[in-house]
Amino acid sequence: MKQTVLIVLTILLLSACSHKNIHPRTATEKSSLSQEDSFDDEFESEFETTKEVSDPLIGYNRAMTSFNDTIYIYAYNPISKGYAFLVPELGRIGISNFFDNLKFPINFSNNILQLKFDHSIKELGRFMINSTVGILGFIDVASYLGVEPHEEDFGQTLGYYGVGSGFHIVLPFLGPSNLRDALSLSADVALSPISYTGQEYQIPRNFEETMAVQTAYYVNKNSLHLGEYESLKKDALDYYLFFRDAYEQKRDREIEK
Amino acid sequence: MLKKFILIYSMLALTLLFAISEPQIKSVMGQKVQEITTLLQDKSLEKESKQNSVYAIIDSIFDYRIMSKVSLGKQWKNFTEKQKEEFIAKYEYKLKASYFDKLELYTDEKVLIKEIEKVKSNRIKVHSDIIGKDDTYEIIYKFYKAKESSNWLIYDVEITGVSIIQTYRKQFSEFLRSKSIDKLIESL
Repeated sequence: MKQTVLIVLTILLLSACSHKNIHPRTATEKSSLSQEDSFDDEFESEFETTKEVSDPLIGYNRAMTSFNDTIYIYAYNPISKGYAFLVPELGRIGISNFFDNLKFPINFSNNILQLKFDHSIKELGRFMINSTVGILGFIDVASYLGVEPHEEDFGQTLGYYGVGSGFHIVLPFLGPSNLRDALSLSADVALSPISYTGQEYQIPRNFEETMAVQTAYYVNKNSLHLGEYESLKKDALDYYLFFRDAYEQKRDREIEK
Repeated sequence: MLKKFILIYSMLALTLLFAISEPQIKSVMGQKVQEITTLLQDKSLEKESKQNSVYAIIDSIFDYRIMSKVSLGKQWKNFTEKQKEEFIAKYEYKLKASYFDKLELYTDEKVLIKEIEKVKSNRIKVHSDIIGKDDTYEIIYKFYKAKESSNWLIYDVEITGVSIIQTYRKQFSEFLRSKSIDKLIESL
């Protein structure tokens, strides 16, 4: 679930900072190797090691971020608020559990692909418990029993085998992503019970139904996270950069796990 | 009114009293989280007094000076003393306000302090989980050991793998590439 949180939460933002190129100041100080310096250097190297995000599409990405932000503020968020007003929280949590349970094929197969067999067995256990005792997944009984979720998607699988993230790309409606994750979306979509790729077990039977189900999923999800996007956006000096870096750092962490 | 003041000041006094040593980190963090949770859930308190009490609790373990320094990286040396002080004050305010803002979104959620990871002799990570409505978020508090006092202080917080200081570092360096230090301080 963790991975979707930020994605959903970050259904995106504006930007439009005009950049004038002025030469950065040159540091003239000579560093004497005092204790103070080595102390600072320790912090410096700790934070410096993080890779630079490759972003050749920055112009497009900023524009798309601003588009997504508008959609979020004027459509997605008001709809989610209205929905949250109508449906009690307990019901919305149940629906969220129901959708999470349906991610089983994705989590299961990606755990196997990453040779995390113990995790895939736990996912199988969760699916069996939640689909039956948990009444079609509406109640996350497995978590109460201490069987924690281990979510994995195909982007993480590729990352696990050393595929780099590639350049950053902001997707319409879905928000920040990168080349690796965007391309691997199709693999997850092919397995997802809430998309339509011709599998027997899939819920939607055509494109329109897919859109309806996906919209329900995202609106329900967002209704449980109202205010988070605004709060994060408020913190940032430049929220395109903030959401971009946050996305890349988060994905690296998920792959590392 | 008087009650609130007593509450705030006793908390302030309490938190200022202690310098954390290594074996205490876990219990101190657990206690602070408990104090904050109790405060946030107390419906009789006004937002402002909640905020001040929370600030008092976190002030004793957050090192805003180091946070400022690390967030600015190499640029720190280009700041005058006056600019440094101004920057730290504003950045501190921003970090605290943003932290409180987030806390308010998760008032009813449970926080679990998990394990302590000693990264090296002067770095410790405290792993914790926030159990949300439909998700669990991993939060890591990063402590460093101050040289002289051997007091442990927080220099960064990582939320679901996203380092707060790292994201600000990027934004600050990007900002300073095209704009002045004074502009940066102003925009905080």
